[in-house]
Amino acid sequence: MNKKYITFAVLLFSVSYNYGQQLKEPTDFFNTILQSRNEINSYYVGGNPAYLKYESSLEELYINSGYYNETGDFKKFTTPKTDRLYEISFSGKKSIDSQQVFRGSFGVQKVEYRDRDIMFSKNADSWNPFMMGDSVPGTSRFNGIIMKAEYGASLFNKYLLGVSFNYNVDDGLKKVFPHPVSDHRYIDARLGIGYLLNENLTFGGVACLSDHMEHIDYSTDQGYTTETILYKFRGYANPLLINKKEEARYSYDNNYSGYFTLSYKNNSMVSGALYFGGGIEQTSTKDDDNNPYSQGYFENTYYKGGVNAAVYPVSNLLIGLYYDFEINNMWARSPAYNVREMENSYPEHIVKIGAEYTASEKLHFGVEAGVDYADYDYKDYYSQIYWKARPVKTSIGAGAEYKICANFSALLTADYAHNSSSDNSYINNLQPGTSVNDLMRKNDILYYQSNYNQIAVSVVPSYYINSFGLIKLYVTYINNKPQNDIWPDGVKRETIDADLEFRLNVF
Amino acid sequence: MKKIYMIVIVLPLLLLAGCDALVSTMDKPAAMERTGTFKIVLKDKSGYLQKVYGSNVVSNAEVTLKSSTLGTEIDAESDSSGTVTVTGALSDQYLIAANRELSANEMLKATGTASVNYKLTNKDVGLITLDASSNSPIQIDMNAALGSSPLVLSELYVCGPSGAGNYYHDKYIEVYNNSDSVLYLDKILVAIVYVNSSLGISYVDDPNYVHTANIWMFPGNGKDYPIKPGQYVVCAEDAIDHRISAPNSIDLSKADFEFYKDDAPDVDNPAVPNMIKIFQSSGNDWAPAAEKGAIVLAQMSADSLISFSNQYLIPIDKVLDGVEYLDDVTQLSKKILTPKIDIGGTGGIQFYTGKSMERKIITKNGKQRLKDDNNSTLDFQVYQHPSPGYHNN
Repeated sequence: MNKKYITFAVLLFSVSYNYGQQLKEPTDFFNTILQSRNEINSYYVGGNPAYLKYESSLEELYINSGYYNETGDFKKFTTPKTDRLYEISFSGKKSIDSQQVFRGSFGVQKVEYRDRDIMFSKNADSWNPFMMGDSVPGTSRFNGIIMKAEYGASLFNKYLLGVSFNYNVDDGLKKVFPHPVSDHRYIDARLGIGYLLNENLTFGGVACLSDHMEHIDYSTDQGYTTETILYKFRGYANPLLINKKEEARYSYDNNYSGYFTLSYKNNSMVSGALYFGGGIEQTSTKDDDNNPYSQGYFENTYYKGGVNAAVYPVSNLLIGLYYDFEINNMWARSPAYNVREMENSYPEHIVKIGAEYTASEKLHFGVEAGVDYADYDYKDYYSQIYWKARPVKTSIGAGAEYKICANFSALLTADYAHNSSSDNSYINNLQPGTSVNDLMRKNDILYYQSNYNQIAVSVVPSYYINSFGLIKLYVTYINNKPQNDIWPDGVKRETIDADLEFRLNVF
Repeated sequence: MKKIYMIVIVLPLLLLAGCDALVSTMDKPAAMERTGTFKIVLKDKSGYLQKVYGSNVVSNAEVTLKSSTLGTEIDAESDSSGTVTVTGALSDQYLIAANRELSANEMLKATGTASVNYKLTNKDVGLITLDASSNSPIQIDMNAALGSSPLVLSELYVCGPSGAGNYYHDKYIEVYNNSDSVLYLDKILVAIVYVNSSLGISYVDDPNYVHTANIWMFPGNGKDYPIKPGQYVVCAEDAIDHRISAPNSIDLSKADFEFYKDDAPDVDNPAVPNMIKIFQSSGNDWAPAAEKGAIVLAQMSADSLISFSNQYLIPIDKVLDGVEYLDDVTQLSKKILTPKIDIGGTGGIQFYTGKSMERKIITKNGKQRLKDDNNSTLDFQVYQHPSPGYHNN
């Protein structure tokens, strides 16, 4: 067997025994200009792994060290006050021959949720209402690894075939009593195909399957002399409060989706890509190790689509257009009865238009404006709480990349956005006359109904070392500040997102 | 290229091997939670109301529903058609207690005797399901029964005190005279209901007997130990002042009775009469389980107990009162005491928290009574501190 096939097979086999959610990527507010301009193909628009050869990274070894810190009280109840992440990853792409390309990555990740109330479910920001925690606020940490393998091949000059696997495992620990532990496993697999209709137009399809398991265990700490109250949520109010030290929760999540992809490129004058498809996510939650019983079922049927296009009216001017939408229809079923616990349907549309001008070999700059619209209509039948929000986020940003010398360049961007929510409402039929402020989880609703301003600034200096490769630093600062009176004065949410990237010419 | 095809085929298989469970698809329910209107219809099966009023409709009955999951209580009264209407309730299993007093006049017309302390109650069905996806009314059959047992277990304190490590010697039960007459405790049996949790063995479904491997008896020969109406009697694991070893505990040195195991290194307070051990298969002291268990009072001759394996059997009709407590009160499916004695379960108390389970006080016909509808979910309340010899209220 050819050596390269053996290497590939070993990598894939090892991937199947590990896992992870996505490796962190640097924050990029632009979808049409600057770094995003190279991402107009079906690999990025639709996530089709058959188009791996159009992925924009070079055939170098990428070593990334990432840090993310988001902190502040402008947040949902389920969100920790501080969300911190540390990550080290290695990734690289290699052409196996003229027809095949492989890309793999491996990362080690540590996530910290600091000062978090009640929740211990890791992904409590999802819409799944079945969450669990305990009465002791504190810090949780999740240590894990992430592996990703992608393979793309050209077949008979007209066909493309690709697969990708993302695998992530981690273990969680709440650092304060009662010291619950958890483990998570996430697998995402994609199978993509493509057909080259002619030299300009290609279309394809991608089938995706992801599987996520969360196991929470409240049995490890037998400190009998302190009382533990477990919280089991099914809605915004009326959590089940259980005086109990031992409990196990299993949450299984399957997500199936499929997309049609299309991309077009015409002599570097016009390029565009679109995707359209949908999927279904199903989550089943069960409690108890020995005799598991249902805590609920959650389902989301969704449709997604989008377009990303670039037009070059003249050689040094790019006009970019970006549109993305998703329509979600989700509901949850009672654990024991054939009744709906909640229902939420919301569409979200994002439109952006940008222009980028190349002034010289050393300088190019651009501007982008966008609108992000969503319309939430949430019905919590369990708690008899109904709320609506229609946020519209308008943004404008600009950036410039300047080559200071032969080896050194820098990208600077700034983005301002204003979110304004209309059609806000809150009804509590179990406690008529009360307002959202009387609800323990009020911030889970207020967050969506808030007007806020967002300011983001990014600096990305790069230094080329001829024989070595490249060193690149991404630093982004984001500040979200609410404008409504519903939040106390001075409340904000700040983010520092940093990545240090080394690219090594080792292949 | 064939190798590529093989890889593409094998990869999904590897993925499936890595999945823990495939989630079964469910249809979207048409009904929505808490939006249903539930109707419960009460019917008299004793025939008394038919004789008195020409109808078996049970009107003006007091009905209490308690959600087994959330613990929320709903109080209602049946209307003139014997119907209780509940709106906005969560779909759940509900413990139900429906009672309608039968007056002496009604008993005279129904039976020819002006008996007192009789009522119509839901003896056979204590657990119902309210399901918002169903519109069918639920019929509850009511039968005539004597009022509550005159002798009841009024308090169970079994979890141990807080702040004293694993100290657990201050457990006690409290017995109460819930009648208007003097009663006698002599030879009344106190039994802990048998369960083997590790092997998953319980006899909750035995229709005739309560199984026990731990039986003690009040001393006396008939009328040596009277208990006056409204009197509390404390039976302590160790009748000593536990505050010496556990500051947050209680003084049980003046308990009325003590469980002293003379074949073990147990504490004996000579000033307190000892309970008589009939049978205890294990342990150095009388020590009911701290988080979940059941205790019954029975009136029968100890000589009539039926031996069964390493247990004894108490006929259910000899049981005066019984109480079950659970670590998770939402899990009534894990009960070990037959619903014929106690349809519910109190508790939800963890080890070493100093909490106690005590019957609620109610007022009936102008008199103070302890609630006894044979449903400890509804009859009991958890208090932060034990109250030996008195009520927390």
